[in-house]
Amino acid sequence: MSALGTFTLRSLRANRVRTLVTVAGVALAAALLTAVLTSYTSLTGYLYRSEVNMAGSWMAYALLEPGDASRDEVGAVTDAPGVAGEAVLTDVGFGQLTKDQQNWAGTYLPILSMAGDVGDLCAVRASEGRLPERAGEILLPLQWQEREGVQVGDELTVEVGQRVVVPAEGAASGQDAEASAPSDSLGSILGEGSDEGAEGDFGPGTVLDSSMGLLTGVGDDRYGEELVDIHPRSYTVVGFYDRMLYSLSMSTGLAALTADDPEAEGLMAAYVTLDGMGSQAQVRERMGELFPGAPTVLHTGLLRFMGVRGAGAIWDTFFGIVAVLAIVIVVACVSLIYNAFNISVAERMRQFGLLASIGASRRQLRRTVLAEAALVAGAGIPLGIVVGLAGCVATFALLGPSLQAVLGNADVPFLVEPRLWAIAFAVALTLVTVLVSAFVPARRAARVCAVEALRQTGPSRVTRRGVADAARRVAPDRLWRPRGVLARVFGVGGTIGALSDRRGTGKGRAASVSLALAVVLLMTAGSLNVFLGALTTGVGQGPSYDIGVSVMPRESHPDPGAEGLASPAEDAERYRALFADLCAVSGVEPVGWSLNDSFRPLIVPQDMAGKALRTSAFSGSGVLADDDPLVARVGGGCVTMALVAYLDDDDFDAYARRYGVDPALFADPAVPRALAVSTAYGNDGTTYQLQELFGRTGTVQLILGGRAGEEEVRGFSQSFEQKEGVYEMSLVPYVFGDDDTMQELDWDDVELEVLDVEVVGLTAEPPASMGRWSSEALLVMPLSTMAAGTVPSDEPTFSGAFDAPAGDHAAVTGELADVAGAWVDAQGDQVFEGGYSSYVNDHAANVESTQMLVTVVNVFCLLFTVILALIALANVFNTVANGLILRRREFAVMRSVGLSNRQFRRMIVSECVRYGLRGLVPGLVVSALVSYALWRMVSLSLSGLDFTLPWAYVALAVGMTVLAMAASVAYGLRRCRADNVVEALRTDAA
Amino acid sequence: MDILTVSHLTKVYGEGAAATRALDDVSFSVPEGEFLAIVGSSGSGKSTLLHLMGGVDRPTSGQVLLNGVDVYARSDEELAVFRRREVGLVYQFYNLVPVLNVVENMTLPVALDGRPVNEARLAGLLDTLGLRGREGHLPSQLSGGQQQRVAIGRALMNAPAVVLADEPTGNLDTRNSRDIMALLRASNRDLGQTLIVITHDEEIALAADRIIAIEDGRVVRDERIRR
Repeated sequence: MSALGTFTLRSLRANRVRTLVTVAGVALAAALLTAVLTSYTSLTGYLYRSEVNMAGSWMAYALLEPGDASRDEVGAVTDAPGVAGEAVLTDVGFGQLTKDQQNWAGTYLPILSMAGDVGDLCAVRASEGRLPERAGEILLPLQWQEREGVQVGDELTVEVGQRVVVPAEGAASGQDAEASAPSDSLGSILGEGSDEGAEGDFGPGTVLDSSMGLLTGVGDDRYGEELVDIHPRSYTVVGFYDRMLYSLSMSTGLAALTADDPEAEGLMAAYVTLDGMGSQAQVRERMGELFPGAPTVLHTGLLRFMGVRGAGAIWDTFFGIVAVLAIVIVVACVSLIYNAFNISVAERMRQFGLLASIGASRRQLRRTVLAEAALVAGAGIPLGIVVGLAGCVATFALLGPSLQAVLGNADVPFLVEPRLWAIAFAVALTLVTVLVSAFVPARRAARVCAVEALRQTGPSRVTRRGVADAARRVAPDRLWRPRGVLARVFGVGGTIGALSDRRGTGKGRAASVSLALAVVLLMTAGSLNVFLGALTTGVGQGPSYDIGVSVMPRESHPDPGAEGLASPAEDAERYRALFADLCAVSGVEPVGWSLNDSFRPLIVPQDMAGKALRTSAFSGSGVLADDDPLVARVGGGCVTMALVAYLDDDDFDAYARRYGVDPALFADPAVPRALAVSTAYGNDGTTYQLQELFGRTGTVQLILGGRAGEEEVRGFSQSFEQKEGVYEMSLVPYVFGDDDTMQELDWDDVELEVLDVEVVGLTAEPPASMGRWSSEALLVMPLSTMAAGTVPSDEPTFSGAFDAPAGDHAAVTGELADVAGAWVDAQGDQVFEGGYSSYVNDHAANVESTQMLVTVVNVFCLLFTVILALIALANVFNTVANGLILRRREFAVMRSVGLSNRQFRRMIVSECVRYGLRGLVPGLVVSALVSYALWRMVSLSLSGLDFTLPWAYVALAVGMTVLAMAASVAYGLRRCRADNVVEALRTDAA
Repeated sequence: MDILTVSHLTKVYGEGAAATRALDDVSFSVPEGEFLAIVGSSGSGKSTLLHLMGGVDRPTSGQVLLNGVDVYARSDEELAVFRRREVGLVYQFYNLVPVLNVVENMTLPVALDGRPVNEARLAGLLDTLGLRGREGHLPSQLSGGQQQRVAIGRALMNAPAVVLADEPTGNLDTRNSRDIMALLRASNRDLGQTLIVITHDEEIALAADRIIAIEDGRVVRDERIRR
């Protein structure tokens, strides 16, 4: 080893504690960077595996028309260079289903013939049985077993045909057969990422393949579809799959798979995985080479998790967060390591001067310090990598199940996936951090002036301001007069401390800066913790009940007034029976139910309207601007959209009483009276919050509809425009024209049908069955009012709320779904042509999932805070303790002329209090600003979150920095006191 | 009358095999107002002796009596007071506090003692030491000779009974050396202060009233200079 190398090692050894603290700082930095990057790679790795598990490993697929390429040609792509795998699904045809089957299986049974590695590429796995291997074998969705009792080994005969376009029912005959394809339908046919539209002839007779959505013939679509060329096909059932095939178009129904089917002559979808792809453009280009001219769809979700990025997605959210965390870590560490080396160099200036005087070149001196940095890095970085990885393993062992639940795929285990590039990056970044931090001190060491350094009487240097101050303070009567509170409190020790602080360079400032940084880092981590916690918890917090059940007509009835439809009274009875059925489910505790009518415009007189309506600052269900034509049409007032909810009479009475309203007021169902919920949740242009809609009771007007000549107004199209932060709503009445297209009308041409409703009471909250708050104006009436037809009701939606007190909400949800499904099945399409649909929402599961997310976020924040705190505190320790050690000769001088131990302590404590105040005050101010900025960021997506400093963290930050300061002072003093005054006077600090 | 008595003074650094006996059973007395030069080769123990006389270090055994009072029977706090009031120390490398100006360095022992600065004495010392006009200078703004004058000023400010100087001219050129010694000699002669100087310089030693030579921690010679 060279002489300078030995010198470096000795100086590291001579200052064991500082070396250890610096190594620990470097290790923490490397650990934190490793942990952050490994968390990132593990998370993306998990998302990748999860995506592969759910959707398959295909990177892109091409759609090939039968005429484009032969099956053999497409199959040969497997052997093309750069192709890692291929699976081909070819349309065989579409099986006919009964009405009952259509309720759960979709319109048809699409049959696809598979070839290649469909299992891996398309994530098709048999939950029972196996995948088909030859013609005549079929794999069915599991529903066929559950609903139809089909078993493995059964023979299944299906009427298979081809879909073709026909004119829509009810559409005018003789329409233009050459009409081009409706663009909105085809847009959805090709899905995300398709780059070529299937332009061309589209009209009656066009054959539709499995990639094309269902042509319903309802609304403004001019075409419908039907099956032609139907013939029976027999298959042997070889297995079932139990999950959605994400990679297959599902709009026509749940697909069945067969293999090598001779009739497979339809559209081919070729799924491939490719090697060596760096960008999505490259994938697209390679697909173009493999399948010239064929529309291509990329598996963007998978590609993103593989790191194959699109042009616009260089910084995705994860990466952004990782980058921010890495920057914070690097800043903290640069400060720590820079201070450590700065002190180390300042302490040894005399030694560097000596080395320079005996011929050490600048380069050699610089290298001495950089070698020291490299040695510290060599010890700290491997340690940090091990600690970081171990930390990740421990954290994810703890959080894995929660993460799986939050990220939504419990089948895929969460694994720690360290990547060589991530560790190499952490090593490189830490090394750069260390070397950058050591560079300035190294340069200072190299520029040492040998003569000055050797003549140096003490390491403290004086500032220019210090020189001026010293020159002023010469009058004997003013000498030693205490200046400032601290000098008064701490006596002559405090005065010397104050002079030292005012005139000396660096040390005190470095301590203050490291203290301020510690406070800022701790507070930033704290604020992140608090605000992220709020972000994950949210203000809305969802409904107060566990499970919600909604049942509604599947589609709007084209003619609400038609004969044979259920009367409102029958509706009420039928839904009451449904609620009773649902309440019979074991483990259920009913919260309540309501029937909710569709939205209607509501006119609220100015003197009755709350602030949000009066100022048109309500985004919930919107408010018309004062100059809107409808406002003029109805002669003023505030117009918003409102929902009418009907409660069963007993429930309604209890609700009314709760708000001090006499239920007897609602005794006559023929009189339209209502309770109005006074507030609603909405955005006033800046934040989301509860806003006042109704200021007092009075009479409001509900616009039920209207007529334009012979035509009945079918609805009001609602649109929003953001003006100066406020969403301004506009409403336009429309009718359906001859060709079923929507025709907008002028308000002046419409004869309005308006109902006066007397609001006899205001309530603070919606009924319990409707959640904690409503996001629109809400009128509540007894069910008897609806049954009496007082307010014409139009296809109300059933909304039931239940608790599962035993906590088994998942099981209860399943049973409620079964009961609701059975009710829907039982209704069939007797009442509505399309029947009903039901939806059961397990709010309790959402809450649990949110809780888990909060736990995950909190644990991450906590770990981040703790490690950052350690770095910050190590920094404080290094600066303060070494600042004292650096001045040991100065202290020895003072002690030799009579400074007592007590005066010495008071001097040091006064200096530390001064550093502390100087660090804490700006640290707290900057922290408050950072907290405020974070709050602003969080407030963008979360309303109602009041700005508050995270006081617990303020206390923690102050407490920890004071503690670190005390520990470092105690250590520094011990070192200084342990010194023999004589020795300290003789030598410069080692 | 003896102002200072050193009795069987022994100082051992380190322990066991590594123990170094810096002073070995040293005894002598110094009468009030004497100018004593202590000479010896490097590492002979003379600086250790001076520090023990100045209350800066504690002996392994033996006593130092100043005005008949045992210096090391005092507590650390009392020893600090002793250093402020009873002795004045001057070092080869000046040992000034770098952030204090000339007058602050000179009056530091007074300030530590919590007493007001004797303005007349300060003014007199500034004049005598030739530091007029440099009151507000910091040590880094002064030459070596000037810094040593400040150190002497600090040692004399409290009018101590004994001034102890460790190679006070060791770091100075001939002219400055002569000036400094003249100053110390004047304080000894004019103010009657006892002056004990450690030196290698024969000229300085010969100017003293008495010379004690130390070798290997022991007094090997103690002679009075006859003029």
